[in-house]
Amino acid sequence: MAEEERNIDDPARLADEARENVQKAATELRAQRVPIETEPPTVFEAD
Amino acid sequence: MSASEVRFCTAAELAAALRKRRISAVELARASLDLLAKLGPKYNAVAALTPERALDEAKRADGVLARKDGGALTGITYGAKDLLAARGAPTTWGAPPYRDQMIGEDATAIAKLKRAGAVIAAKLAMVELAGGGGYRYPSASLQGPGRNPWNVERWSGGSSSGSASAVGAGLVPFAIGSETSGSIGTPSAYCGITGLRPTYGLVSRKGAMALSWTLDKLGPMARTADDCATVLAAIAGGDAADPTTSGKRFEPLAPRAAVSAVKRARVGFAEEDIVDHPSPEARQALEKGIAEFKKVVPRFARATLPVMPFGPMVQTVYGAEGAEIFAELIEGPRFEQLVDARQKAGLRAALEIKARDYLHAMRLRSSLQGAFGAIFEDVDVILSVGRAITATPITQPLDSPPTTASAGPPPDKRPGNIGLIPAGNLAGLPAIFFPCGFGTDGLPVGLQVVGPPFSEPLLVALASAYQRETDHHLKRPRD
Repeated sequence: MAEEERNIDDPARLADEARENVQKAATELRAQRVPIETEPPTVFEAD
Repeated sequence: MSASEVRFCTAAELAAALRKRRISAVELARASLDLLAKLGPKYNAVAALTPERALDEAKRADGVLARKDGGALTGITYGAKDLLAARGAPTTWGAPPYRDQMIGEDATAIAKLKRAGAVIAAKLAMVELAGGGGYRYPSASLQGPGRNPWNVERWSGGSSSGSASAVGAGLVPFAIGSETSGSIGTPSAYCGITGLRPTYGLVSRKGAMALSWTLDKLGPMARTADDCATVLAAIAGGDAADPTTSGKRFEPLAPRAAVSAVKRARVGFAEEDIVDHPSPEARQALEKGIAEFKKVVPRFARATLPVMPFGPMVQTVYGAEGAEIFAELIEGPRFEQLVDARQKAGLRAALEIKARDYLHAMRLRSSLQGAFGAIFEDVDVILSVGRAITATPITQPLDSPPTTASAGPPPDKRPGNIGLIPAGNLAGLPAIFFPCGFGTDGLPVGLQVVGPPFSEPLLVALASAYQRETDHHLKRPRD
């Protein structure tokens, strides 16, 4: 396995990246405002 | 009919052959089992064959056919993604920790197909746990990397890898796949088949592995839109065991109504989808496919999705739900058995998603549904590329986005509707994916059409009309 490939699959590095991804997604989500009255969706109903 | 004549037949063609006694259901089941046993391993498509059950169901189907009874699926063989429980076969969810899991009852979709007379021949391979942690390599599966029938060094797409390979290679006329965000669409596009993602709640998820309670959908993957419709009619409908089902059923439009609907349909489209995003290999075939579609359905209008963080929204929702669903596994000793290191890291990290972020993503979904509602006041459907690229090499890392079709466009490109896969899934909307040609690398490319909730009859009519005027869906890969 190439050196670079070993590097990107290192578990400690992957764990750091995964936590950073969660945090980055949270930051992007929070930047998108929603009106205060907005509730989570419910399932679609039949006619 | 011989086994070689059965291969690549549509379900409709096989149904006609069964009615004319050109083949019996038992002969068809044997032919399908032979094809799956012989060629399935070449594509890593099969998780388990179900020969005893197949022959038993086929014998019953022959009895029904002899009485000139039954329906369009009586005696037709199929495969089911290994995330669906089927009595008598292991249900591995594509993941080593569940390699010996036996579930003693059928998923509702499989029970309904049995009632419709269909014959299950195989459980089909999938990405482990449907890829909910964000996997790096196509090899993230108990069965190995899904190999593409058009080039076995390319990926079949995920997470319904085996379903797409088996249909694309002509081993079964249809398969059941599932989609949380892209898992029917991507493999359908990569393997050159037709896939239908139903409206959330149209098909019961009872007996299917849950990755995300609010995103998961089950749907048909086949060679034609008409076959997808036949299968969807059999599996749609309410289920007391799945409280998220709407209770609505599916019935395709009658032929004359379909012709009229196709003529009237207003198609929303954004040209940047084929100008800014396709890979050099895929561009020309996608442009041609859009031009062909416009000849069939001429009323085009510009329509674009709102600018929203679709990638973070969908990843936060299925990340939080999936991590909770698999928390016991993640925190237990068998977790290390999972194949893909990035998937493991992603699942662990997803346990730390905050409730406020999950709920914020959910509230944004409501805003998105409202935005789609406004779009569908002006157009009936949205047309876009299925995938902007052809199938990637099986050794190529899939990172960033962490799962296919989940992230937004690169910042230097106009977004158009390139986020339609995550956006459509977040809003619970139906979509149909169908082939429109081949890239310069010889691999299939396709289009997708998305409509309002429960617009499956229109989506099928549009794709079927396109398939009557083109022959991309009839092309067959060579062994």
